[in-house]
Amino acid sequence: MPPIKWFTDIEKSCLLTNFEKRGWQRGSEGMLLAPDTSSGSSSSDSCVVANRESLSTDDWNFYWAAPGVHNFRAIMSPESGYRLSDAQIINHFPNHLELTKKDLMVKNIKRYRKEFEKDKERMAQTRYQYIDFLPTTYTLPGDYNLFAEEFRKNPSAVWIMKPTDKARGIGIFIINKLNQIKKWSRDNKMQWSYANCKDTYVVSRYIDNPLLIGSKKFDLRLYILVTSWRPLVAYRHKQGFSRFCAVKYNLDAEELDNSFMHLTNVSIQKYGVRELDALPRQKGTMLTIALGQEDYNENNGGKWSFKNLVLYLQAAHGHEATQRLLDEIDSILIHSLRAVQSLMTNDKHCFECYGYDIIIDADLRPWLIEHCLINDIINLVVPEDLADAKCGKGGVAGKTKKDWGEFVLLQDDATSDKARRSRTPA
Amino acid sequence: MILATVAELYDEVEQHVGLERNRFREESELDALAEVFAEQIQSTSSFWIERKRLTESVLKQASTPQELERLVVKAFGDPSGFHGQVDNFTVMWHRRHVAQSMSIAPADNSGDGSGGVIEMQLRAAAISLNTLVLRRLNRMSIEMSTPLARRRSVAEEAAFMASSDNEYTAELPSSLLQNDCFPSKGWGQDMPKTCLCDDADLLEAVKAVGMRAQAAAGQLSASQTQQPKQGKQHRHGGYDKFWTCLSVSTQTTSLEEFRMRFSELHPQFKHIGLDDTLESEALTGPNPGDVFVAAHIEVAEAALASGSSRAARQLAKHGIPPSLRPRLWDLMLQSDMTEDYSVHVARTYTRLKVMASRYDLLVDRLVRLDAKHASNDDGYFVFEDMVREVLLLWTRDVWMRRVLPLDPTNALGSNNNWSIDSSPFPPSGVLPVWGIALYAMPVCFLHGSAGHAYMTFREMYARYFYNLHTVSARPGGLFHLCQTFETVLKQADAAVYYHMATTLGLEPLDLVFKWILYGFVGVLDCEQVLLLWDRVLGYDTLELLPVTAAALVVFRRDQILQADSVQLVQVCACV
Ligand SMILES: Nc1ncnc2c1ncn2[C@@H]1O[C@H](COP(=O)(O)OP(=O)(O)O)[C@@H](O)[C@H]1O
Ligand SMILES: [Mg+2]
Repeated sequence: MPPIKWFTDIEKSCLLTNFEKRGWQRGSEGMLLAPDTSSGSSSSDSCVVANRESLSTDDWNFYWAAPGVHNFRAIMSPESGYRLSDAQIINHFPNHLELTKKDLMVKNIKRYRKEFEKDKERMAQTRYQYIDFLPTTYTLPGDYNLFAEEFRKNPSAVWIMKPTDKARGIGIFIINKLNQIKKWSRDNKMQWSYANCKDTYVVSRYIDNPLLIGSKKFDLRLYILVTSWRPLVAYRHKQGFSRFCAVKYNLDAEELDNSFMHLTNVSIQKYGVRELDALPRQKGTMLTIALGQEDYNENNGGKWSFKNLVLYLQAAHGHEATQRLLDEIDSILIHSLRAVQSLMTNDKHCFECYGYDIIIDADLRPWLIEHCLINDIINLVVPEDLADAKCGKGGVAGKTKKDWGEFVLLQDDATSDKARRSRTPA
Repeated sequence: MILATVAELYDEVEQHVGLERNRFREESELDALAEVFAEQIQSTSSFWIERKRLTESVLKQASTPQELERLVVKAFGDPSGFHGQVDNFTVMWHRRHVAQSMSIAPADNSGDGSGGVIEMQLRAAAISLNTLVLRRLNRMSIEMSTPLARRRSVAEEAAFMASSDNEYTAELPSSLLQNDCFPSKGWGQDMPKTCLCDDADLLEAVKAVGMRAQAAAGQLSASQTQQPKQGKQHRHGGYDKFWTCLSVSTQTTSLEEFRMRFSELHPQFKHIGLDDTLESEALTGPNPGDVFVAAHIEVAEAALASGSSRAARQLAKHGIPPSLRPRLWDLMLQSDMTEDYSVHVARTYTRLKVMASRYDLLVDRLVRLDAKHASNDDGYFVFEDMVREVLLLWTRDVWMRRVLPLDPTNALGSNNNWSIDSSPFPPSGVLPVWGIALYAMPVCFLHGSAGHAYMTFREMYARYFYNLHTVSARPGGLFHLCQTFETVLKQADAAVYYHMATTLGLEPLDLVFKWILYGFVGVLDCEQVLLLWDRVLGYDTLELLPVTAAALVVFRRDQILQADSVQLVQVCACV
């Protein structure tokens, strides 16, 4: 069996060491993109067309791509005529934005929830009953009137504004008065330039009673790996963690702009972690700090392992309450995947890892905050045998738990479908 | 009546703590003890509350004197009622006061009075440690030009109370902030530390026991006559002395005895921390681990309902499910008879908090500094404030002074007569050892509130940790534990011992001393530490620590045997 060949456009040592550890070899990208890297400005289409003949020369099994960059789009674009062979896999689905862009995610989950609640039969079948996990959210400026109406119904509520196309807390602010977001109101709508609609925001009900530990707010980061959308096959990594704010929490109005108190991802910056410039404005880059080997911060960096959190919750809130919380978290994971299941391009060459941000409130109820793409913690998101498995050397499903390392199977429709099918004729 | 119950209970107590029966064979001695217990019990408020309740209910039901007697006996017999409380109280009281006064015996216990000699040698070591600590304390006071204690002004007091969670660092000179030594990262071995006494000082003190006598008298008599003593206590002088870094040998428990005493730890039983993580091979269906946890929780609930600290301890030997740990630990530790435990906690907490605001103690600076251990550890950083608060309460708790067998020759627990405003310094009578925060850290996993965490901490400190900080002849004291480690390791795996001590020149005790001293905090992961401490509470002995240390060394034996440098051993022995 030839060794697996890897290729990446994120030359980070945490990735490279990981490939090496797995005994994989550096592959090459072939001719496809070579002209582009030199000329830089030439449009992607022309470049792909120009190189169509040489496509077959590329030589990799495992491509760890940055989704925003040109290479990835070129490969996944239907016009490119690019064909992946059976022995090639890539770490993104082409339209992951359905899940990872804040406004699209909200739209999809809202729609899914309506369908789900209508479908009584389906509801009865699943053990995942917790579906109301998204804080009330509107897209601005589009839903401004709806939002204003909701706001007036409950004028003491606090809301959080988040740009749809940014990450790492950039552009986020908390509001408790409507006039703070006048800019997005109807009167101003006309001046809005929809053409390059840069300033789209989502506004969400702020979870103002988060569970505090040591008087500090925290959120939960969990990792999910999807290897197939239809049927859905997804895994959860055992090693999530919680990220703690640097400052003790309170809801005083004059502290609403203190991001060290309210935004759990900002605290990471305060702990003095290097900015990562490999992928500017790429969602999830801060995560490398979390567990990517080389960027691991020796001091705690405000991160507490999921295991410790559960240990603490067990003692503080008891077995049952903790178990219910964990089940509800699983419910969030499953339903949010189901919400986009039918929309995703189900390319068998693709797999993808998502980071989930979840906030637990004081009543021990989990809320989904967002999904983001995971780009550079391969050791965490790719099971040892994934490449073998997907490169036509036997499926992942149907293997025993031992082979998954730190992964737990979250959902496997492939196996359960098969099981159902084999049961029917009997 | 109560005296009879207590006398009867005392019998059980005696068995339970594994006292040698003959120590108290004298009937009169037993009676005397029962009287002491009864007096103690009557000094608790809940005795009177309970008595009133019982009297009322019994008088209401009984119509004849005979029936009255029957009812009283029945009421006492109810294990979940008063009987149980008295039981718990007696066990605890015995543990605190009687067991503390016992002494370890020398290895060659032929009645030649060498026991007295060893005790003297231990005392001498304790005195020189004491001198060292006091010298440092005075120097610190001079260097920082701070008195040992200072009454705060009213304004300062208010500021202290207002600062949330004692983040009152105004008095902490910034030059004192040490950031880079913390347990999980190897304790910053060579960092200069601001402390009165650290692990190295303690190790040195332990090694110094009997050293001078040995030097003077040449080789200490190594007469290892191997005649097993009558009864359970074997001697195994055969293992003593052929390599060791200690100069005196005392009786320790052999591996065989440990196997008997800790028989519940045998893998034939199911354990929390092991069997609860079992996953089924099948993709679906319940995990055997979950099934076990569910069953174990049921048993644990029953133990809780019974209110018996004895039942709780029996259960703890197999580990405690995390969800029930706070309550079961309380049951094992908090047997002070109080009418309402939460009220008791709140009252103690408030009282100590006020004390903390009133005085600025020199040792506060040390414990504040020490609390930084937590902030630098990725398992405990969320509890930094709580750890600091717990330690600040601890330094002024006169309760410590009451329950600890304080000894003027032990600086870390001495009745030194400094007094400030006519109250002694520090109020607790205990000076903090470097790393004191480590003991408070795991406790925070159990209790969300500083008050409850503190109560657990102080009880654990009084029962166990104090013994780790003093050189004494107590069984379960630091010296005894070190010796136990050496003996067990030699017996369990002489090859590893030899390889380390002779080939590598690394005394095994040097490697594991910190593990034992800090109860494995910072060595094992938080969850593992709690699982180990479950068992320590269950068996009510620190001897599990050296046994665990030896077990870990044996567990890593292959790596250790392959290692050809001390550094390599240190790396591979760390779990
Ligand atoms: N609805 C909310 N309630 C409370 N806190 C929130 C809410 N939404 C976001 N946050 C906080 O803001 C942080 C950043 O929000 P997130 O949606 O994850 O945006 P980003 O893309 O910047 O990571 C989160 O980690 C969380 O701490
Ligand atoms: Mg986020």
